[in-house]
Amino acid sequence: MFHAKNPRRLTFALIAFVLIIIVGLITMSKPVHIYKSNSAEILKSILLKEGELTPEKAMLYAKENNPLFVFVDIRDPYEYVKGHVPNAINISLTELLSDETLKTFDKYTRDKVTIVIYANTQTEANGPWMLLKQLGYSDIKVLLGGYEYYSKVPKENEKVPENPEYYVESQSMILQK
Amino acid sequence: MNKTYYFLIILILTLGIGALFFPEKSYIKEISPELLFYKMNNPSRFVTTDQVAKLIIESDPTLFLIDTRSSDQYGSFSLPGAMNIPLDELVDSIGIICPKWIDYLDIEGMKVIFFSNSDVIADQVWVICTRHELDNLYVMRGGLNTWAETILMPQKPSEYSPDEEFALYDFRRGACQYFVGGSISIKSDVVADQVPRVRRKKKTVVAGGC
Repeated sequence: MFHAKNPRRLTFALIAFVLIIIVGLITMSKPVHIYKSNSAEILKSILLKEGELTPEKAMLYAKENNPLFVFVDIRDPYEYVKGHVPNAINISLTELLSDETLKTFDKYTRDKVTIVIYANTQTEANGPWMLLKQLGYSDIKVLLGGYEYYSKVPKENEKVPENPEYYVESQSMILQK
Repeated sequence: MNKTYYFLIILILTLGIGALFFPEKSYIKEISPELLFYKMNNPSRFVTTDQVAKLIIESDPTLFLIDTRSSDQYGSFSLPGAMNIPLDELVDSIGIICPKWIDYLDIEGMKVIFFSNSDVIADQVWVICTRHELDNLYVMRGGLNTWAETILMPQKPSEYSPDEEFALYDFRRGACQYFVGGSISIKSDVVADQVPRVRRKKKTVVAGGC
């Protein structure tokens, strides 16, 4: 059996070893944002269309100032000033992942408020919507067709067309020929 | 044996058992949410229908078109040379991109362009693929509906439009002839370019003499 000439050397080595591990654990960098759902889950929610809100419903909720829905305008502030959904809050796209924004979103999630994201087109809001959904905000929706179709919603007494234009993924007439 | 050795053994064992309870590391290849957000905000990930038409006509070898609609719609009409990857078959049950598509999507130096009827589904495919560390992916802005409006049925610019618009219109008419054999454009041209024919009067030969 090997015996150290200086038994204290082993104790020092031991203490150093434990210290290194503790320091390593403390300083381990923790990522700020982590994915909380994988791609299979996000694809499932896309296919179930659970994150879509039609402009008619959006208009209804916005008009009655429904406390269960909050509209988030992710366009630039100057576009927001020109016209927006009533009672919408403006968080421009560059601020989307900032601490302040995520704190706001956390608060809405705690209060069980549905967040509805919109931009001029649905495509502009689609990426941020998918990203927030993957970051674990489950109660989040995207406005179908974006603001450009929201402003074209027929009034209450008008008839809703059978195939509304805001389903932008439906085939246009030219292609159907 | 030295007491310190016992202590050492116990320490190593506790560390080993502690390591068992560490959060499971996922071995799925993916980029951080920050990087995904950064790439998402880069407008160069969109290409226009004119750019796509130009690449197809030039038969660019690095172009790879992917139709993200359902296979029925793909069967009825698609862009020339496009491959079909329906959105609902993109991802495996464990959350990675199906291995059968990876070989197509992950080719060095290829420009992969996604399209659908509009650009929402194509964009959704883009987000999922970009999260899984795939590069050189693009989305055709406006999708096939815009393709039909701009390439298959180009609108003539008004007389006071700048020259660039006329150049673009000429390109689109040429592209239209390339893709549909010109059947649509010829019809409209015949009406526009009909020149009224003036029949020449037959010269009457002067008959009779003095």
